[in-house]
Amino acid sequence: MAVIETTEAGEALAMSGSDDDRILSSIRRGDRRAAEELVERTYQMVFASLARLCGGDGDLASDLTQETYRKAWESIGRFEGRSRLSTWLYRIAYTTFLNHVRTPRRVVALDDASPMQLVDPAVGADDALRTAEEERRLRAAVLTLPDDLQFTVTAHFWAGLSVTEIAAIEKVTSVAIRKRLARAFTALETALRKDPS
Amino acid sequence: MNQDRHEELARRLSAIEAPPPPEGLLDKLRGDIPDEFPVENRSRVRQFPGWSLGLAASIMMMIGAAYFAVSYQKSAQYAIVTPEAPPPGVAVERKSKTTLPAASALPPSTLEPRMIAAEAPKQNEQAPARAQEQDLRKDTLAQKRDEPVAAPLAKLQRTYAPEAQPTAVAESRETADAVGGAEDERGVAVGAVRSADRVDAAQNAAPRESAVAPQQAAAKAAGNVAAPPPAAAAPVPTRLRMKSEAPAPVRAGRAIPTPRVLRKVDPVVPGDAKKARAHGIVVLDVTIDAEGNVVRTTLLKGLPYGLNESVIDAVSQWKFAPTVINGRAVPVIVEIPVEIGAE
Repeated sequence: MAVIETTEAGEALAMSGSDDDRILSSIRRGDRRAAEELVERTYQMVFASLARLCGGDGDLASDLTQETYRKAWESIGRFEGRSRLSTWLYRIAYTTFLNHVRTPRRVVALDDASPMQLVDPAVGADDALRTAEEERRLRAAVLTLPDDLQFTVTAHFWAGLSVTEIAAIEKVTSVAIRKRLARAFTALETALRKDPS
Repeated sequence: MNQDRHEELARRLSAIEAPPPPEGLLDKLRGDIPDEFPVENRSRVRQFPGWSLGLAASIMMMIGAAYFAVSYQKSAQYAIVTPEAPPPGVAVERKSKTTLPAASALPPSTLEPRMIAAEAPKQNEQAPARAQEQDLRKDTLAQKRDEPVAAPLAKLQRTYAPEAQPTAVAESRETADAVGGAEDERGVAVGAVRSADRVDAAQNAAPRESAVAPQQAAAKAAGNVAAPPPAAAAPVPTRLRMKSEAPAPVRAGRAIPTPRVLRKVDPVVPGDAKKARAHGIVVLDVTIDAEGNVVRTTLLKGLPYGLNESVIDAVSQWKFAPTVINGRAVPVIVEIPVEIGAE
């Protein structure tokens, strides 16, 4: 099965379990420096995953990142340490994103989001446009997946979380997560086939 | 084939790049860090060592309460028995005709001290009818409150009344039967019922008793009569013994059929009731053993003029067909209304 264990965003997270424990206990003691350390280690992953979810809208991803950390500080007392801090943060970020797109007063036209402004000068303009269009379609297909499949796909491929970490926060087995990924691939293929444009 | 397509999709998903975080985002996030982080109260409480002890104590208290509740319910299967071998002093007194203690010297019951104390001045009053009525009310109340403990004991104590002196030998035998037969679960209840018919007589004898008491005082002063035995002054010792083999009686109702009466004895209407033309229904809660014998009666609804005692006396002689459940005769409790009164 095609499961990529690390991504660029995931590589930015070099936090081990012992680091998690140390940072968490320090934060609970009121150590502001530990909170800053957590932010420094994780904010790139949170922003990147939110930016992918938002279709490359950096401003919106920035706002949601701030909202994510505000919620994290409010609920860090309830964090029981069953999963990694980065996994827990991504769960908050994903929920924040869902709340944002599902709130009627803050409707975001996801389909009309501007494509990512990443144009490789080495390739031609046509290739860049084609790549951007493919990414837009793929992202739109991901956002049509059911919630559990959508969370699993985005957490694994866009936030760089491992299958084990996703299984821990979803309170299921790793096998169940792999099955979810397989189902998600099938659903994505179907969605892309229906929308060839 | 399918695997290849999935790998291609995975590659495309991973290839979607995200823009770099905008400048200043890290500073904003640092600035949003609060000075204090909320700590869940539940976590604080759980960290407190006393939390675990308190939780354990609460669980133990709940288990203890449940245990005592079950024990209390089981106590319904206990029968009251008086000691098989009464204290030596009491035994001598019972067998002697002349040294039966006066009513005032009778051992007060630990269960109904106020009742006994209230009876003493009442006996000095020469109004036996009124005293009888008041006593009857008290009997009813006591039965409702302490049944089946208090009422049989109070009636047993009345068998020591001075009225019983002329027939002390016979009565002491009956009393000894009631006491010695305590092993038999019928002992107390039947003995109490037998003595019930002497309640009126004992109360009617109050004037005579008041005359007898000075004589005994004079005799005591002359040294002819030994001092009241210490055992007599002490409360009658009672103890509870669990019926080890007899199953608990079940109440007749929907599932349990009401036992059929084999032998019925009609109650005798007392003279006072005839004069007053009293008439009504006495309701008893009757416990019937596996052989069909009445072993315990509890007055649920009574009538004045000694009608209750008559009905209890009669019903205690009734014989019922054994109630068989699953091929085994079991004791049952049944509520029996008895109509009684002057024609």
